[in-house]
Amino acid sequence: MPERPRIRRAVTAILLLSPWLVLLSCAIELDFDRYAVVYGISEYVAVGVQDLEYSDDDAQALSAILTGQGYNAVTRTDAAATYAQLISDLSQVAQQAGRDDLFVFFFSGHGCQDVSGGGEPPGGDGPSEGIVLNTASDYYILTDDELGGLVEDIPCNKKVVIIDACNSGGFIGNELESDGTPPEYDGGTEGFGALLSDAISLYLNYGDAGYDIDPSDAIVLAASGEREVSFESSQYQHGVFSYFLLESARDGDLDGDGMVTALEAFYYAKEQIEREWNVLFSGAYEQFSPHISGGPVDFYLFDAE
Amino acid sequence: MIGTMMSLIRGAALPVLAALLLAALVPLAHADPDWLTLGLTSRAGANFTRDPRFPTKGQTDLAVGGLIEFVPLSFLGIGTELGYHWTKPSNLDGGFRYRGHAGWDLRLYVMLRYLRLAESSKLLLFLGSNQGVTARLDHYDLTTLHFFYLGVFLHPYLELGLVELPVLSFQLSLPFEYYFRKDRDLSTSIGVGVAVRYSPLRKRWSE
Repeated sequence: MPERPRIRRAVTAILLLSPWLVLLSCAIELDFDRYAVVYGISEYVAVGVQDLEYSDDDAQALSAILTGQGYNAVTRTDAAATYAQLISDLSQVAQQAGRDDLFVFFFSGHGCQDVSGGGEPPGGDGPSEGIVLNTASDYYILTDDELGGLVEDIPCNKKVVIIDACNSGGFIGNELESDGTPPEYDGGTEGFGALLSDAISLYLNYGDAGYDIDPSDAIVLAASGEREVSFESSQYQHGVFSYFLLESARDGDLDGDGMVTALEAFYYAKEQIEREWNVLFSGAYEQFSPHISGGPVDFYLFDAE
Repeated sequence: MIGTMMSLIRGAALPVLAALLLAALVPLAHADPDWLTLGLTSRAGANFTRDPRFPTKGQTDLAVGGLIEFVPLSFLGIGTELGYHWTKPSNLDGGFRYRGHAGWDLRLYVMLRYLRLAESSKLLLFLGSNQGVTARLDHYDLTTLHFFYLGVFLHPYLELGLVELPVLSFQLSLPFEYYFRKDRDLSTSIGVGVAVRYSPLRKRWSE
């Protein structure tokens, strides 16, 4: 007779515990090191380059989040954010990081497009785009292809490049995906017919073109399209894209799993820019939209705060 | 001498196989055709994906579609299906996951109804398969990035026919699919499918 209550208690305990056991067995493994190189330039050394207001703040704020979440982060701003220093910082990461680790590169500052005719190699997406770094006494334009080469030397399988600068969409080297958001956003998207024919053409002509940052090497989150500018705002005290990227660490966990991936951060920033910034303007110049690399994978970026 | 004989055997193999196939089909050629079949399909399963840098992970998959078939023989038809599918993201184990994606499917296929497995006064059970090619236009979740790819599939099925309502039948299938994705080492799918089929010109099930 006493056996029945014991059996009932045991069964009840198993039933109560089993969901937790299932949850434990589904726990996500994030057993890898995280590295970040974070650059932000508001003050340009060269006289002819206009200073910005908040790019250094963008870098500092993101660095604070990443450091607080266990990243080994190196932060350089203004006069310290030089091309030579970047080469050194990336080289150091390349020596320390392993194949399974995560690497993030962030830049906020001026971006540009080379329309002088230098351009991409044959098969590329036209003009080269670049980010503007300081040197000791001047400036250096780090092109999309050169940055792609530097990032390629980082041995990590998981790499995210985040650029809050004008023309930053030009750093994305999609070779299979047709982007419905045009390189100069005006509130609309590309038509179905154009997307279909472009996607078929890309599929049939797929090959390693070797320009920009290939999605098979790194995911690029770009503040704006290849042919448009990005903005900073006194209201946000940050670059507009950077502001919402920073917010995504808190509010960008779309699937509620406690983590924010690169795709989730991108989507959050893009939606917020559409809702909070683009609605203020009717002209195509002020409206802009972030872009992200194609490719089959997405990477962890933040713990949701 | 032996080499010559082997060559002759190899040379004769294909014509012999073709003749055997023809001989098997000739009696069936008198079977009543269905002519036209319309149907609705639904499939659920698992996608298995592998990037060159990362191990394989599974992604759940759901698809719905509508089909139309031309069935000139009761055991043979050609069909086309237009559908939509959703593939969920994989888990984030290891700090990476395969992206979710969704999009349109266009399929061309051959329907084969091999044999009648069982029958009663009310129900008939057939074994068959659909096999063909698929073209897909997908977009990655949370993006406006669209991509195209081709695939092949084999869907073995059991078909349940109603004796007193020959225009209607139901299929239960085990779909196997392989996709030719240029940015992945592996992209394949396996699952379970159901379909309801309406053949308005079928007056009776063939013997």
